[in-house]
Amino acid sequence: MKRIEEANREALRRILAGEPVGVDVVPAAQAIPALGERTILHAGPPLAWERMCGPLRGAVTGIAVFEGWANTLDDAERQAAAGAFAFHPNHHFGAVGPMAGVTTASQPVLVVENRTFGNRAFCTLNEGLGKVLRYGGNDAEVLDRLRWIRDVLGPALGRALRETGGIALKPLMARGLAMGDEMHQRNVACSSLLVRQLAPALAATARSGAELVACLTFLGANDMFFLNFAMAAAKALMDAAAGIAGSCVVTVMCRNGTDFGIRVSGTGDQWFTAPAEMPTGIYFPGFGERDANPDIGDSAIVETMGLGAFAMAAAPAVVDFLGGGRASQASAFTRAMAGIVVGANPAWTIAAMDFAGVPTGIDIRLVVESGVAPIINTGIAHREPGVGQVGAGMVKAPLRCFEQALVAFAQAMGVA
Amino acid sequence: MDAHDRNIANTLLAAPPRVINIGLELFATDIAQQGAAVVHVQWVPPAGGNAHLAGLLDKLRS
Repeated sequence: MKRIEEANREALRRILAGEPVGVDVVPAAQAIPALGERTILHAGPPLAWERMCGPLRGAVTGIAVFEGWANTLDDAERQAAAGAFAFHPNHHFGAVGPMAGVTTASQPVLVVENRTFGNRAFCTLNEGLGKVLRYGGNDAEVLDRLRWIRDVLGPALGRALRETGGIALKPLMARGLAMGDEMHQRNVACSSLLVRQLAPALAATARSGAELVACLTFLGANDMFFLNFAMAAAKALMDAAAGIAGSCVVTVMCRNGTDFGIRVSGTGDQWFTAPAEMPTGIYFPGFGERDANPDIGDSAIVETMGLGAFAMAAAPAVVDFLGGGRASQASAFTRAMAGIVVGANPAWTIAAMDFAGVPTGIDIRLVVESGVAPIINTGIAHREPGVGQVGAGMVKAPLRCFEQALVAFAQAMGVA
Repeated sequence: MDAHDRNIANTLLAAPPRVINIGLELFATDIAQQGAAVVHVQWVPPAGGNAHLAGLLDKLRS
């Protein structure tokens, strides 16, 4: 249908034309004025407390204590069950969050501005690996780290980003791809490139030498720090392609640990959901499949934009870590994803595939017709609250989401 | 069947098989293991064989 092809070309044009720039770090309530007292944003499509999985419940109770809305984790759980908190998806407020993705008023969020279209996207700061809030961790160590991020790291990063005038993320990510990152489960190159740009500004604006040392030590020890930058960049790029009548390009893929949800450009804010799948992958010593929670997190926005598993050919070193087979098979994932998209991104190329652009713009028609589901690289959270990350792997988006979306899209086009 | 057709049929039976397999790859694998030349074409019914969805796809492409 000519109208659909034109609309999809416009969606791809907007995705490719976007220029995401990291401009600031501010308290979430400043970036998202609707984020009031006792309001908790979470990853994935809408979800009530009763259906929340263990790690999301762990993050919710932890953040309620962190914000001073509850005295203890048990108190927070009782309040949540009694309806004391308002829950909304990050995506309803231009935000994203990895894993549990919990965002509340006083947490610092990274602000990424799409300078081509003027829209902004937000994401909390990466806490590191292991026992962390986004994986459902919520003990004193986790909450103390969140307080340090709120009181020291967040303000320091905000001053540094403002000092730089903003860090252009698109060229940085292009270099990261060439250095072996796919920007979902491997971010060591991009994190290093980011610190290289940020360090002078951090030093120039530091309030003390000890604070500077603490910030640089934290950043230097966190290979995944850039993930949240990549997510906010992806959200800023994909939001510019939302709401195009006649386009069947996917603008959001996300999960809350219970449901997987997608949004499609031509069907606006409507969610299409199905039960979240169980990732397959490699577990940390002492953990196994019995411990794993179903797929969770807004980080699939990275694949929605054409990175992560879609760019696996750029990151052969990560394939084995994810249980995806041999490094030499990395390009097979990228080639498979190239079959379900409307185009490629010439700004983000893969040397190992003769500088082909990463597959970009998932077309729900191609997914439903072929039965080839988008693949997502992911961390694996323990199914119980309070434990944290237990492994990493890969997962497929449920086809049911795309089938539902196709029916709704056909109705919107007047052919169903 | 005329003489031309009979000639083609005889040639087919006399020569080693040359096979194009469409769909289930297992058949192609079996033939290859017998030492015969086989080309496998990856194919599945559109929309997994769901007639309703396949019909919508046709309308959205026409």
